[in-house]
Parts: sequence; C-alpha cells; structure tokens
Amino acid sequence: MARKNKKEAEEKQKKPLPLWIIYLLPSMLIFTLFVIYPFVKTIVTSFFATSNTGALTQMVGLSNYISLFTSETYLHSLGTTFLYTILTVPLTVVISLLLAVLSSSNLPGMGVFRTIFSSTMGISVAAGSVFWNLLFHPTAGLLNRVVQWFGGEPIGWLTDTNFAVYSIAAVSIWMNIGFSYLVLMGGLKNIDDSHYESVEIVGGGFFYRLRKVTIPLISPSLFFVVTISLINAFQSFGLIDMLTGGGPNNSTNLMVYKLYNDAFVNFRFGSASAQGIVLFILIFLISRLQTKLTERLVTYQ
Amino acid sequence: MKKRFGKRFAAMLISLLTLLMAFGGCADSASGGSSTQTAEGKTEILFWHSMSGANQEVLNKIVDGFNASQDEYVVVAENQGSYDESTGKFFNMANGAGSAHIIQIGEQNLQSMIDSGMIASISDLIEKYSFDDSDLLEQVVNFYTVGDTLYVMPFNCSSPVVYYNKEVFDAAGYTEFPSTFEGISEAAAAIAGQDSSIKPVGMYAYGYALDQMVTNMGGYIINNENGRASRATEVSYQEQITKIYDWIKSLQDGGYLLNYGTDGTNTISGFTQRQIGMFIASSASARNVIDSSEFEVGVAPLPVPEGVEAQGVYAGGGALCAAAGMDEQTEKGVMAFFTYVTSPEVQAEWASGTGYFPICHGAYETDTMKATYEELPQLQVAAEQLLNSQVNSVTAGPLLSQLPQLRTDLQSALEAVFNGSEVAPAVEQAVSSTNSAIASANEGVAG
Repeated sequence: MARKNKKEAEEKQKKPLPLWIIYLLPSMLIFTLFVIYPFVKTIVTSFFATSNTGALTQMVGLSNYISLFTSETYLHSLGTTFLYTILTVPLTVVISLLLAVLSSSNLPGMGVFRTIFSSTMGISVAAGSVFWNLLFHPTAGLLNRVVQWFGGEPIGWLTDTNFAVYSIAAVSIWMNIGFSYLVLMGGLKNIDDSHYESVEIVGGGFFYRLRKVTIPLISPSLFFVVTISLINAFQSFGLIDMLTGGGPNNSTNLMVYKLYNDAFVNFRFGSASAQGIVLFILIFLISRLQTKLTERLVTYQ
Repeated sequence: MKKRFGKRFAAMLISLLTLLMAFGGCADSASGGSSTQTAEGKTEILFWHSMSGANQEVLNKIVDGFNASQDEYVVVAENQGSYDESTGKFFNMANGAGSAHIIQIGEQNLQSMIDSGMIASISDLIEKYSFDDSDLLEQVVNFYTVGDTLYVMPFNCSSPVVYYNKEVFDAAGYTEFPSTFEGISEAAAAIAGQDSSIKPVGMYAYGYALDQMVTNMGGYIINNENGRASRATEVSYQEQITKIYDWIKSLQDGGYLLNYGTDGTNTISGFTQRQIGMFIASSASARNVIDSSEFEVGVAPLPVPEGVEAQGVYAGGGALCAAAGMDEQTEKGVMAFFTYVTSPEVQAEWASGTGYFPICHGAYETDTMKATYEELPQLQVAAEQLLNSQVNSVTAGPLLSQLPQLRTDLQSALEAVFNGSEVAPAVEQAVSSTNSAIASANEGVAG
C-alpha cells in the first residue's frame, strides 16, 4: 500500500503542468463539435417526435424504436442488409485476394494487370452507376442482349424482386475490388522473399504457399479489408440511390437508404435517429465480434 | 509565453462556443438584417431550383433575361438536387446566411413547407406589392391555396399524360387513342397480335401518376377531403387504386406489359427505341420525348375505367416559395422576379421549351405559344387536361407532409404487382405503411 502511494506520488511529481490539456484541446473541441455532440443529439432525438425542421416537439419514449421493430418494412430492410453484406463481403475479399496473389509475381507486363485490377478504385459511384444502369437496361441493355442471344428470356436485372439485390451486390463487389486489391497488394509486397525460399526448400506447392506463408503474413491487411468492407456494406447508399431507389418493392431498401428517406425526404427525424442508433449498435457489435473471433488468427510480424 | 497561450485559447474557445451556439440556436432564428449586395451595388437574390438537363438551360435563359431586364437585382440560380433534396437543405439552412430567397418546390413539399413556418405567405406579398394575380389559372391557385392563403407562386405546372407511338397504334387500327382502361387493353391485344417486336405497354412505378389517376377517377387520395378540411390522418385511395392495379395486373397477365421498375429515364429510352408502344409520365418531359423520337409521338390524357367520368387532374409540377423574414429590398426583388416569370411572354417561352404548361391565361394568347401548339399539338394535351379539370375539393389535390412517403408506398405496391403479387395484399401493405408514417409525422406537429 505504502509503496503504491509512493509510486503515485512519484508519478504526480513527474507530470509537468497540465500542458497536455493545451495539446489535446483543439482535437477535443473538434471531436466534441462534430462527433460527440451529434451523437448525443441523435440519441436524444430518437426518443422524440420531431417537426419537419427537426425541432423536438414531443417526448415519445421508446415508441420510435417499438414502431421500427413492429414495422414489416424495417425488419425486411434489416434482413436485406444482412443478405447484402453476406453476398458482398466474402466475395470481395476472396476475389481481390486471388487477383493480388496472381498478379504479385514480377513477370514482365504484370504492371498492366495491376493497373486494371485496381482501376475500379478510381471510378466514382455515380459514374459506375450510370455505366451499369446502361448494361442493366431491361430492353436495350447489353446483358439482356447476351441473354437473348443465348435464347433466354430477358431478365429484369433491377426490376425483378428476385434479381435486384444480387445485381446490386455484383456491382458493389466490382466497385470494391479495386480498394481491397490495393491494400492486399501492399501486404503481399511486404512479405520477405526468404519466406518463399524456405517453402521452396520444403517443396510446397501453390496452395501450400498460400495457406502457410501468404495468408498468415498478410493477415493484418486481410483483417483491415474485411472490417472496412463490412462497415461499407452496412452503410452502402450510393449504388442503391442511383440504380434502384430501394425498389422493386423494397427489395433493395437497405438500412441506410431507408434512414436517408425517412430523415431527408419525409422529415421524420425521430424515427430516422432511432434507425441510426440501431445501425450503430449493430455495426459496433459485429465489429466487436469479428475482432474477438479473428484476434487469434491475425499475426503481426 | 503562457499568457499568450491562454489568450489564444480563450479566443479559440469563444469562437468555437459561438459556433456551437449558432448550431444550437439556428432552429428558431430567421434571416433578416441587410440584403446582400454585389460589387456593382445590385441586390443579390438566391434562387434554388430542381431543373436539370434541357429544362435547366431554358430556366437559365429566363433568369438571364430577368437580370438583363433591370439593374437593381441579380438573381443567382442554383440547382440543389431534386425537389425533396432542396427542401431538406432549405430546412437545414434555417433561413440563415447563404440560404435561398426563392426555392422551387414540388407539389408534394407544400405541406412540409407550410409546417416549417419558413416561407412567406404569397397572399400577403401580393397584397403588399399589389401584384396582379387575376391572370393566374384558378386550378393552380386552387392547389396551392390552403385555408384562403396562397403559399407559393405558381411557376412550372405539369400533369401526367399518356405518351404513345402513333405509328404502332395506327397500324393496329387505333387512330384515336382509347380513353378507358378497357380500350387500352383491347388495343394492346391488337398490337401484340400484329407486331411481336414491341411490347404494347411499358410502365414504371411512378407515384405521382398513380395519385393523379386516383384524382382523375374522382377519389380523395387522403381523408378529410384530401387533407384540406382538416389535417389528414389516413389514406383513402383504396377503391380507385385497386381498380388501377387490377387493370395493370390484367395487362401483365396478358403479356402486354413491360415494367421498368421505378426508372423513368429507362422507360423513355425504351420508348424512343421502339421497345414499348406507350407509357405514362409527366408532361414535363414532353419536349424531350418528342424531340428524341424518330416516329410520331402521340400524347393523350390519363385513362379512366369504363363508366367513370374523368374529373381531371390537380395542378402538379413545381412552384416557387419565398423565404420568410427577408428584408425590404430583397423582398421587392423577389416580387419583381415573380412578376417577370409569371408574365405571359416568359411563361410562353418556358412552356415552349419544356413540356410544362403556362400558369397564366395570357400566355395561351401569345404568338409564341400559339406557334408552339401549332407545331407540337401534343404539348397542348397536357395543358388542356388541367384546363378542363373541374375545380372542386377532389381536384384541389392532396395536402400532406408525407406525400413523398405515400408515393413511395404506392410505387412499392405496384412493383409487388409487377412481380406477381396479388393486388389486395399489396394495397394493404401500402396503406398500413403510409398510415403509420402519417401518424408518426402528425405526432411531431407542434400545437
């Protein structure tokens, strides 16, 4: 006890004047203004009914949350968001990992492939949507021309409830590959050649190399890519807004898109804030869970 | 050294606190104070609009025309996204510095704007500046008047119409476009029997057209006489919308229908590329559709079921709001701009270049308009559909802050029908979704 007190006293003495406050103040103020204040405000708003300019008019307790979870549309939107996440995240990561591994060798001409594979990184959501919207066009689109050439019936890529979410997911994978590819490529380039030389000595093949050397050594990048893709999937908005507008029949009405509509089109800020909080809790829990699960698998050199 | 630090931080703290207070307090404050002047001493008037593409070019010409016509004011026109988006931005700006003095809204934003208390009463301005409103179309004034107060200045009026490929319908023996659901179904069957390369009917889920069709069939879209007797609490379109969906479903089941989801642009390109024979869309794109089609385009009023008399439509499209709490000089400028854009010549120029129709009687008498209608009689159809509309509480049109939600729900229901759902459950889903949104929005209305 006495020793502990002494240590504390020592620490106290070592600390200079509270200069740290001065260093932290700017970022603390900015954080308070742009992160903490809006966050607290969102929590408060979610317990209120609001006027259409956002003023809190009437405390309604949990009723915003209760009506969310009894609303068929919202539950459906939750389900669709999960489906969309499951569709996009694993495929994005697996495809970009494969592309990165295949194009990481130093053969001549690899630079061309690397540029192509990472090029979607430079395409804005708006440009990508316009381009895909043309491909998906029900009558004049290239995709349906191909389907018809093979003798099939034209498909309502974005207008059929059975297809829309898959079409959007495909576009999203295509768009996200560029970024994941770049990050994973960076990870691959950091692996020291000596690791591969030892594999050669052991005599392992491609998959042995991938499993025993490549994946463990780029696991930090992999972990980063998975986390970011997951959060992006939960928050995706642009593609939906430009390609389907949440349709057909709400089949692509993901959580953030619904939130946006409730807040900024229909001006029901109370309900929208409640949705924001639900989304926050969801992403928080999933990221937590993911960190716990993969913690052991990630090795930092 | 330390003292200087302290001072700096005090200054920083104060400025940040001021910022915070500005954020917190902005909900109640209105602008006012002095007007914004340009370098030449002209008063600047900020005008937010939602016109894009070809229509934006015509609008810019009109604004330039106003700026050149006098030297006291400069109107700066900015596109701020769709009607719904710019309405949202307008609310967020809370009439602070940099916010619009004039904002263009769609008919679906009227109730929200009134509820916000952030727009001036046009009736008051009309009285104050003795603006001559006798020439405005009564149907349009009817829509935008709530409890004897006119809240917006009519500007760009449109109504949904049927566009059809005249060659295709002529070839099938229909030189007159049918005016009933049943008639269109028969024509569709005839076309399908002759020409397999084209789908007789194309359609996209378009909420505005759907609620206009309800109006045309004589139904109130929402209760309490379209929300005009007192604030609406639930929808009341069930009877009419069921008939509309039943008709669409029968077309679909017959294989005569191609759906484009909710994408109006794709529908238009499908039509101009001869993939569909007809579709329903706003008359605002008439000029564009006619100009980009190589065949003769026909335009017809909205159909009704057999045995129902068409009531006409309410005056949809857009209109101009004036922000509340402007200073005298800006207010004068806004009224000068309103006087200019509602004048017959400018309205005629506007209507000829787009597909909107003039909102004042005088414009129909101008040479510009007459020449345009001579050249493109299709543009006249949309105007006549409104001009021939009865003026009563049904065609006054719906007044509801949740109108965008109501339309989204109607679209979802129609898309469900497109995808094979039965009509009754689809309508039921839309009704319950919209009603709960209305209830939750009404909860938030102060007072």
